[in-house]
Amino acid sequence: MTNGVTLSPAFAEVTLFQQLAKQQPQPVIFTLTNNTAQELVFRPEVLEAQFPDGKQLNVAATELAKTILVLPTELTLAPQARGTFSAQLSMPDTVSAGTHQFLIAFQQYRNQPGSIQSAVAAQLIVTQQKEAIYKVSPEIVGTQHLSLGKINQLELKIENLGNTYVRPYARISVLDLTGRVVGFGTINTDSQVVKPHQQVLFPAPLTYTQPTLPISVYQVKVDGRIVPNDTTFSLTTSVVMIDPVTTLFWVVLITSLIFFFKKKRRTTA
Amino acid sequence: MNCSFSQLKKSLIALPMMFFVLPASTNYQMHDFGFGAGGGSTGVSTNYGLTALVGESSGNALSSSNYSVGPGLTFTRQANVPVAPTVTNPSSYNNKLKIVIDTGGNPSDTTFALAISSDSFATTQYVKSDFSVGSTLTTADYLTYAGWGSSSGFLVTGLTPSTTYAVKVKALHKNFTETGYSAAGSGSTIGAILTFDLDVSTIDAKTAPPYILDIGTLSPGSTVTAGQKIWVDLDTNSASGAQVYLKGLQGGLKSTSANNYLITSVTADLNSASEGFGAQVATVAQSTGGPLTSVSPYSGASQNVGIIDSTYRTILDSAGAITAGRAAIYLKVKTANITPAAADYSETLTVIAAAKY
Repeated sequence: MTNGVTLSPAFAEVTLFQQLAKQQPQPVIFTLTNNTAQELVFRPEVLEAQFPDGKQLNVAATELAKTILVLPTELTLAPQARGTFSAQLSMPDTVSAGTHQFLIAFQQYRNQPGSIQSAVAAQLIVTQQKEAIYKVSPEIVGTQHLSLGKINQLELKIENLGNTYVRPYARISVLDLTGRVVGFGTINTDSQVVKPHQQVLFPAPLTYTQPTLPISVYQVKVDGRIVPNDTTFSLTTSVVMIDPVTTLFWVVLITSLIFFFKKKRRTTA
Repeated sequence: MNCSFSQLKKSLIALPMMFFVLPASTNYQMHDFGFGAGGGSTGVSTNYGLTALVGESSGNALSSSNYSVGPGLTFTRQANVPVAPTVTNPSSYNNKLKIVIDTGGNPSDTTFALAISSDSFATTQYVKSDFSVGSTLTTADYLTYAGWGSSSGFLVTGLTPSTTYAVKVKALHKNFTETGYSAAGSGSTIGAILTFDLDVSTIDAKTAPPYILDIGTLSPGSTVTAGQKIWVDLDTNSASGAQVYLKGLQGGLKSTSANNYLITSVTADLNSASEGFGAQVATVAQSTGGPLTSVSPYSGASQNVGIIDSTYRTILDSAGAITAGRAAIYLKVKTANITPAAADYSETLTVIAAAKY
């Protein structure tokens, strides 16, 4: 059913290196496709997106947003035609370290008050690496030290204590008393970013590749790292996993055997 | 062959020297005098171990452009070189690819390491044990076939959109058995795209711009819901999904003829409010992915509405990639008995869609 307008890419990343701060990075090209049967006119607007509490999105045409020049200032697309906008960054040396996020809204221009305007927006992510801080606080959340049955999922809370967007990844291993890996899981398969001051809960479904004992102590080990700077972190916790059904089966079996042998010994005597 | 046999015998005894002094007599010299890897033995003392092959030549690889033969003990002890992995993009991902490795007939406790590159291995990165991509390869990144997802494979994450990646695999089965890399398999991510459309209609139908929504006649003291709804189409392959924002120009319905009187937009239950204007999401649906959900305060029922002011406010959210997302939005307004009557109450709305990064 969809037609409307298609934007590609929907987001782009630019990194400003300290030594290249004065140089102009390559322009970022965004392509719009008019899927409708009408001629459409687009005008770009650059807005800086801010996350004061790590969640709420505030956008505004800030001074920093004005340093991104998007050309052309107006683009007319015939039905089924496509055209491009070019975003050129000219950020000052004084731009603060860390990640800055911008929305470049391509609005269908209609000089018609009282109407409903439509726009598609591209995300432009700019990271100033000078004095960038990559720091996270990882925490295993809600895992009980005693579990009836196997733990099927682990949750890892990552808090970004730095000033830069980071992508955390981690492999979770479940090890038995001999150190053998019996299960594993990973987090953040969608490569979600954690913004500064933001806390994100990442679920890690666990897959078991080896049989587990009815009752045993298992070590849950998290080996993680954050991208882009490959800072690593590790966490461990111990869990006593009890499989009630299997345990009951063994208890009944052993009790039956004891009863059987006792009875047999009496009979023999 | 007068003394050559005894000299040969001496040479055989002097095993540690064999790579430096080849067995020879006055007349003959023997090159390549091992047969496969079978002619050696393993000598071990408390402090030292020696694994040796009698007469092994020192690694003259025989190769053509298509085939190669690895000579000697080292090659014989290596695991089987895996077959090229299968690399696919089954769901039009923009930042991940599916990889299924082939064991190459190695035992189940064989571990495998994966190298990945977007420039034909001019620069090489590695698939980490957490299935993301990193610049280093550590022992922790060698996983078994089961660890790499067995026949179902796994999704390597954190890739760049619109990029072709080549992936190759090497195997390790105990110490000193690591193979060279396999042939490479390749697959491509696609660009992150967003498709968005609006319609204004009483029913679920396509309409063309300009989008004008007529609320109708307002009755004092009662809440009026516009017969027409704002319909939203949303598609994206962004793994993080997309959001739709709503904002107004004036912060409510304004009448020029009534001295710029403003029916202020509010977040409220219009049943209990004396006057107000706002939006409420009526329906959400999608073909696949998402799911598309309404965001508070636009997700209320009855006459509960969310504010439409000059701030971009999230009204719809898709948690993941979505196909054929479709939502309907009501506009509701309530007037008081003291609200000036006028025929030109209006507001200019902007609906923006953006893929989530």
